[in-house]
Amino acid sequence: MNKKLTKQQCLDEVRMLARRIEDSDDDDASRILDEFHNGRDADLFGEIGRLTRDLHDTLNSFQLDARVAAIAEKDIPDARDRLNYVVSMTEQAARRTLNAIEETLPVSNRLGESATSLKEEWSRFTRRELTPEEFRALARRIEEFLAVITKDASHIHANLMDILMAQEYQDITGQVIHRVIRLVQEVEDSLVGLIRVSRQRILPADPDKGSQTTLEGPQIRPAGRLDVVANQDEVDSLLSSLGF
Amino acid sequence: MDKNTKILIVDDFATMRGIIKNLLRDLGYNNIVEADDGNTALPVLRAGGIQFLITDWNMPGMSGLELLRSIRSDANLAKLPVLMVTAEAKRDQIVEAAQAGINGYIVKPFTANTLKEKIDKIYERIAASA
Repeated sequence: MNKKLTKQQCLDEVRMLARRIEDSDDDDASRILDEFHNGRDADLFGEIGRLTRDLHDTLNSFQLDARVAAIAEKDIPDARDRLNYVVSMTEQAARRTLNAIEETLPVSNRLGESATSLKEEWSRFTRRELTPEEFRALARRIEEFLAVITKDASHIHANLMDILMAQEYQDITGQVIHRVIRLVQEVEDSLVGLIRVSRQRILPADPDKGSQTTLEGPQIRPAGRLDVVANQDEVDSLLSSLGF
Repeated sequence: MDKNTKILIVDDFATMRGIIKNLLRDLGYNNIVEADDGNTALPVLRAGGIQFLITDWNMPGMSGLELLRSIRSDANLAKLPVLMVTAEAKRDQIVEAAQAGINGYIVKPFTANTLKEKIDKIYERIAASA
């Protein structure tokens, strides 16, 4: 029996009950008592059910709140650090590249100028316009120039290799940016979840959110961590401790 | 190491493949092929002829560690020298790679000299154990 009785209905039932007892009609009396009792139980169970649903919804939204709080407290500052790291990596790479270029340009200009001037002298020589003295001076200059070329070529080579290595930033910053993109995606999902909760008080529980993959990618602050190597020397000593 | 050694470079970032390729050329190695993850690398390896592998770890598709495990469990490839060049710097992961049978491990960012050193060391060790 799951119905609310009006005051009048209650009085009627109670009078009926009294009459049944006076008449010693025990069966009917106990039936009426049972009906009262059942009505109470149904109300109670209904109320407990509603409270349970509320509790469930609240716990679920609390879970989501906790994830949003974690994003705000930990992941967003972490993403900011990562993006700052990208800025400084790209800046370093650009500076390193520019330095190498600035150093190399005058070297290649000097080589070009020397070659041009020697070429003019050489043309005069082939036209037999040089005195023996001038020819000896030209031979000395050519010898010096060959020595300069050898030295400058290795200088240019070193700078080109430096420019090459500076491009490493693209891989490392690319990995960092991909991670931030994934975080932004997660923030978006959580916000959509929050909107859904606040509108309907219904949300899908997703306990897997927040568990990270095992690969961490580039370490932006290895110094403060014991579980991470800070440089190649630490990799080498770790591997040598393993018999490498 | 013989300068004609055929080397496979596996990395999902073309820039990094370009850097390693140019560093190798500078060291005198010109016989170089490339792949962008483990899935594309394995058929190249199984086709035969690759004598040295340089691989990244974190790649979409098949990772470098999975590639390494596939190599070590393949009778024809099991002895291929594998050098890992990766940004993964966790100690546990380096140990995991060592246990999976890596021959050398370089953490990014790295220098040209580190690459040369590690390649030389791998070949010294192979020569010593031969």
